[in-house]
Amino acid sequence: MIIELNQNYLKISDQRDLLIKVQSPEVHLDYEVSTDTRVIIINDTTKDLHLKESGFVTGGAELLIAYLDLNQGKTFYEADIKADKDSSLKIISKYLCSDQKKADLKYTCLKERSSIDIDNSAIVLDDASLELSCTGIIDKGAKRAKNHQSSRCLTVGKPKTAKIEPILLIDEDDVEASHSLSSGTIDEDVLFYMNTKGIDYNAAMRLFISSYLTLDERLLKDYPSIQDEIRKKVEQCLM
Amino acid sequence: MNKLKIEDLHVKVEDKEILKGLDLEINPHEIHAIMGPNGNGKSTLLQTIMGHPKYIVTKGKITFDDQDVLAMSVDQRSKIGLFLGMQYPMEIGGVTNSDFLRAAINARNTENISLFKFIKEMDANIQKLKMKEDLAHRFVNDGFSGGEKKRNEILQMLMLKPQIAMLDEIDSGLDVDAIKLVADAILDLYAKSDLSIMVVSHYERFLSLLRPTHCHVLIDGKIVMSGDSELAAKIDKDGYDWLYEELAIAKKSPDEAPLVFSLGTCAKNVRNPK
Repeated sequence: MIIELNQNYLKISDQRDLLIKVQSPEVHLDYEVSTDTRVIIINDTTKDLHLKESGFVTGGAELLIAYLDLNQGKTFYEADIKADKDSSLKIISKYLCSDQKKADLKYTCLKERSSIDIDNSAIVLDDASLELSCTGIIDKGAKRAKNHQSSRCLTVGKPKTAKIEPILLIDEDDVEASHSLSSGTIDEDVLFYMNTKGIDYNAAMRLFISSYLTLDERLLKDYPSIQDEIRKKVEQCLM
Repeated sequence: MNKLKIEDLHVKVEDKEILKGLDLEINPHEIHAIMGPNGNGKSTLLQTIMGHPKYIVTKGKITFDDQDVLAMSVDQRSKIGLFLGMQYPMEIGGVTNSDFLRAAINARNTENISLFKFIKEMDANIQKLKMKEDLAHRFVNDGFSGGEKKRNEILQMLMLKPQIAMLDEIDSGLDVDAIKLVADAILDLYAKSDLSIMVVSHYERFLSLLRPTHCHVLIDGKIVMSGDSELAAKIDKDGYDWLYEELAIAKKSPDEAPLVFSLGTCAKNVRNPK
């Protein structure tokens, strides 16, 4: 189901499959999910956005949230979502920063065997800034919980700021947790390798931008028109 | 025509001269094996032909069908038909093999290859090289074993169909069966096209499968002896000592070992890493 969201608040509970085009400048998404649910959020505002997410996934369900921000304005993205016993949370976020993007994300394993997997990607353009703080938390009592996050950031030109803080706060033994971060411009060795196969700098940039910003086709298979829309937006970024 | 001509090539890396007046001519449909002890300029030769920015040509010419190769950018060299199968292929996280290869194919054609044709061709070559079926969707060389990376270079060669394939120790990291498989794939393309091959290898086994039409020994930045596949067999049997004696060439001292470096890192060049 596609929602063009013009209001400030939306409660999401067990809607299985949702694509939200956020059009209001200030939005609060409140999750209360107990069956497998997939939510794709696209920043569709014409200017700035303050997006807030909060809530829980319970009952052994899996909540997948994919956030795509190709918007040219400023964004402030806050999230505080918790996974209960045997429940899992999968987070994918992708940012194209041509202005100022700020994110303060917290994802908590509350109880036993809860699982969180976070994957952040960003491209920060000339003169733009990204400040992303991503905190994975494992609470006391969340035995055998898993909390993994990886972030990657590609800088193009001379951004003002490209700062990602991957944080883990663990208050339990017998858990799995990890964080990884890569940030920087295209490696010269990689660029030479691509050049040797005929891929010049611009084509290499296209490949990287597309890989950083394109959502997995499997996520969008039910939304062919959105897929086209995103493809066009990504192509515009490459102009 | 596909003729690669190298004349009096002098190349330095930083302040060290590696190639010291190298001449070589490769005509269509020839297989040239470049042999020689480590650190004498074999990889430098291939990297220079391909345009690695660390290798500075101080003198000499490289032409391909009378076009000045040295005046071309790296990607232009690839587009005119030069291919370098690397000794240490790079990993490119986030970019799938499929996207990478389509971009490489489209870069050299006026019209983009159709998805159907691309998939069909890629699947056939994946099968030929007995690679994993999900290869197209995996990131380029990311998490690949050494042997998988080398096969992936050959897969790229089969897909890009170059005029001259330069293969830098492409057999290292491959087990016996994989060496045969890779050699067969190279020879298959060779049989179906005008492909010429320059192959750097230390192993007679690989060279005996490829059956080079020419064999050259490169010592101290120069080709000191040329012959046919019998020369490769003799080197495999007797090593290089007889050549130093016969040609009265002084052996390098250990402190003249090759420079090891990488582009784009802050690591200092390392000599004789321990």
